[in-house]
This record gives sequence, C-alpha cells and structure tokens, in this order.
Amino acid sequence: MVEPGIIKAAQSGDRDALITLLREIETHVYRTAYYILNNEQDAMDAAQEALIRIYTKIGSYEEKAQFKTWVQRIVTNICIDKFRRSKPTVSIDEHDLVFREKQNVEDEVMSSYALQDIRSAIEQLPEHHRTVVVLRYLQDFSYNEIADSLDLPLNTVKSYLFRARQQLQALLHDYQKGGVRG
Amino acid sequence: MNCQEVMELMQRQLDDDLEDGEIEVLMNHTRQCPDCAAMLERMKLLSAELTSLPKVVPSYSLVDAIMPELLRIDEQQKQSAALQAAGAIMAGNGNGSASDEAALPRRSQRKRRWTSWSAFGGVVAAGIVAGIFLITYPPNIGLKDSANGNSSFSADSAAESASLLDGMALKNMVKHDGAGGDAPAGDAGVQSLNNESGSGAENEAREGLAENDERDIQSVDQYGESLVAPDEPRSMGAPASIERQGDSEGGPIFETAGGEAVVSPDGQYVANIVQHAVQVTQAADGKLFMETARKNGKLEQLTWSEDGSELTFEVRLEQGAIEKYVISLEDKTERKSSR
Repeated sequence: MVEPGIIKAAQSGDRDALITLLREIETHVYRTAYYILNNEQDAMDAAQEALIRIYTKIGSYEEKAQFKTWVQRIVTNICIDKFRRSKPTVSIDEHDLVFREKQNVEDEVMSSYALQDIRSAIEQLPEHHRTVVVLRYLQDFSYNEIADSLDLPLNTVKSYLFRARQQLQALLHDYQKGGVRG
Repeated sequence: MNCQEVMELMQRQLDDDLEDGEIEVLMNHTRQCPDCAAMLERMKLLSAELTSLPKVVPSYSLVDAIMPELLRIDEQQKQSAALQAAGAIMAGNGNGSASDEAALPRRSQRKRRWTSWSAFGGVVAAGIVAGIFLITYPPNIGLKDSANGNSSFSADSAAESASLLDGMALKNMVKHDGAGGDAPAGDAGVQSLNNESGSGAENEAREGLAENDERDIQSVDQYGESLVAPDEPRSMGAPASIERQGDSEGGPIFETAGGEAVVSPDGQYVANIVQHAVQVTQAADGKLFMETARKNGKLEQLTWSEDGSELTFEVRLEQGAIEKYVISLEDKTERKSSR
C-alpha cells in the first residue's frame, strides 16, 4: 500500500512525508469508518480523528507490525467507541425506503435494491462481526491481518467472519423473500 | 463428512483458504448434497456482493480539513520545547557562562551564544522527549516521584495504567477530586496520582511537562482538544475494557491539561478544578473565595486573564461539545461565553 521509505521519513520528523503519508491513507481510513458507522458524517468525523491520532502517534508505530494493520487498528478503535456511545437508532426511514422501492421495483432497479439490502443487513451485525466483514471485504485483509488489527486470536476472527456471513445470508434470504417486516 | 463440517469448508473456500485436497472433499459433498450445493451458491453470491460494495471515498480531502489542527499541534510542541529550552538555558546562563561570553568581542560572542543555544536546545529537547517517554511508558519512577506519600496506588497499577493510557490521560486529572485520596483504582490510578501531587499546591515539577502552559500560553484553541482526545471519557469510565492495548497512545502531551492549581497573575488567588466545579481560594490564607456551579462534563483549560480579574475555563460535554465559561472575580459570578 505505502512505500516503507515514506513511513521511515515520517517517523524521523519529516513533516512533509508525514502529510503525504496521511494523504495516501485517508481514503482507506474513511472507507472503513463509513462501512462500520454507516453514516457519512460520522465517518468523516471518525476518519479525521483517526488521521490526527496517526499524525501524533506516528512515532509509536513499530516496524514489526504492518503499517496498514496499525492504521486500521486506530480507525476501528475509534469507530467502535463511537458506535458504543451513540444511541442505537432505528432507521425507520431506511426501511420505509426499502419497502417503497420494493413496491415500485423494476428489473433494472433490482441491483440497487440488492445493495440496499446488503447495507441494511450489514448494519444489523454486531459491531465486531461488522468490523471483521469490513476489513475482509473493503480492505482485503487476510485472516491474520484482521487478527492483528483487532488484536483478536485467529480462531475468533474466523468465527466472527463465518458467523457474520451466515447471518447476512439468512437476512438477505429473508429480504428477497419479502419476509422482513420490521 | 457431514453438512456442518462442510459448512466450515465452504466458508474458508470463500477466503481461498482451502488446500486442493479439501477443495475436492467439498466438491464431492456438494455434488451429492443438494442442500449444501444450494447453500454454497448463496454464500458465493453473498461474497460476490460484499466484494462489490462501492469503494467509497470522502467527499473532500480529510487531510486538508484537519490541517489547522495539525498546525496547532505542531505549534504547541514547538512552544513547549522552546519554553523548556529557554528555562534550562536561563538556568545555565545564570551559572557564569554569561560572564565568559561578556569578555569576548561582540560578533563572536553572538556566534558563541547561538551555538551554545542550539546545542542546549537540542540536549534539552532530547531530554524532554526522554522525559515524555518515561511518563507514558512503564517506568514507575516518573510517576512515583511526582506522587505524594498519601497516594494509595500500587506501582503496578500505575505502570499498567501508564502503559495503557497516553499522555492525554494526564488531562483526565481534572475529573478527579484533587483533595480526596479515594479515587478508583485501575486506570484512574494515573490521574489520581497526578491529582494527589497537585492537590494543595501548584506543582510545576509535576510531570515536568508543559501543562504549565496554561499559565504561559493563554490562548489555546480548544477546538483541537475535542478532535484529538475523544476517547478520554471512555477510558475514564471503563478501566476493564481497554481496547487500545497494543496501540500505546503517546498523544500530544504538550496539550494543555486542566491543571489543578493555577495561580492568578497577581498571586492573590489560586484556582482549582475540583470534581465538576472550579474553586477559587485566596492564596494568603487558603480560604475559599468562590466556587462555580457543578458542570456536566470535564473541566479544562483553566486560565487567568492577564490582569487577573477573570478566570476562563471550558467544559467538555459528553457528546463532545465544548462550553466556555468566564468567572469574574470582582462580582464572583460566572457566565457562559461564546466561542
């Protein structure tokens, strides 16, 4: 993802390198935040927090860990915090939207409808399951990389991922059958 | 192989985690088991959909958006370093090196002073960094030195807390009762230790860091604080569930903390953050001069105005908003001030 040279330079006080580094990772940081928090504004906030934290703590990154897992660890921690602190709101609007679309659905709309489903389904996953899915599919992390980022044992990562997929699959099955009535 | 075991293979297959032999086992089973075959299809479909989730990007540059904050952080670090350096150099000059320099011709004198300045600055800056490391990482020494005798926390919990919490935790001091010795154990250990040492007297030596800049740097932008240290309230209340284990937080230690005791410029009063209020006591006899109402958040940025007639502070609310208050000494009132 990022050249090791820039990281070293950034760590040894080269401010320009550090800024460049932040620019290179900002999209990845945002993307993770977006899919965990499922809200653009929250994601912007969380991502900015994460970038600032990376800026100030760049010195604490140790080469033995992968840089990308270190970065993702920071952003997932912030997101899980935010997640816990905000009140769980029932997004009635979104569900209404889904049903409305369903009534009007044409074949060509099916693909965006499918997307709504998946996003809604992901939203229903518990925070750690959701995070694992996001790291796996949005960041293309391997089991080990996910384990490093979240500081979880390998087996736990697998179990979260597998369970999440099972849940998603069940939820989508329901959606498609029109079974979910909130 | 039963369907349940096969399920595990299916899942791993989605992550390309199967060896050839295992793939064959999977295929053999699904060939004969329609249920599993159907399930595999659904799982593959799901995985494909997840893979094709849009790779969203932020609608404006986040780094640009945080640039002011980054600059502010840089400034603070520079100022703190300069302050420490200046302090050390003045102490150094007082020891006679100045008299040597006075004898030399002006030009080389200036040159000499410059080199010794930068050398000093370098050494002191390095010393500061080392000091910061000592504070934020295990060695109990740093914490113990600044703690009072009546601190009741084990070095272990302090060390553990220190290694788990970053320098920003020092700012959490404001939340605890400076006077009482009954603060909760665990990660509150660090804060309370600092509190203990701060209670009753202004403690410049405490941590030796730039928390003193509330005295020197009056105008600190509080906006940055809310961005930089959002996790404080959490780490305060949940000593058990510290998730940032591997991620040691050596945050911007130069940030102004809500230091306990701040003396007014004329030396007449001492302002303290006590639990959720600010107390002003008379420096001469320690009598309580006035006390603000209880606030619903963390109090920080206790700052005297230049002429000592006003005291400002901020309250950081749970949701992250910051309220600024001004205490007027002559009529012993407090009012909210706009940002």
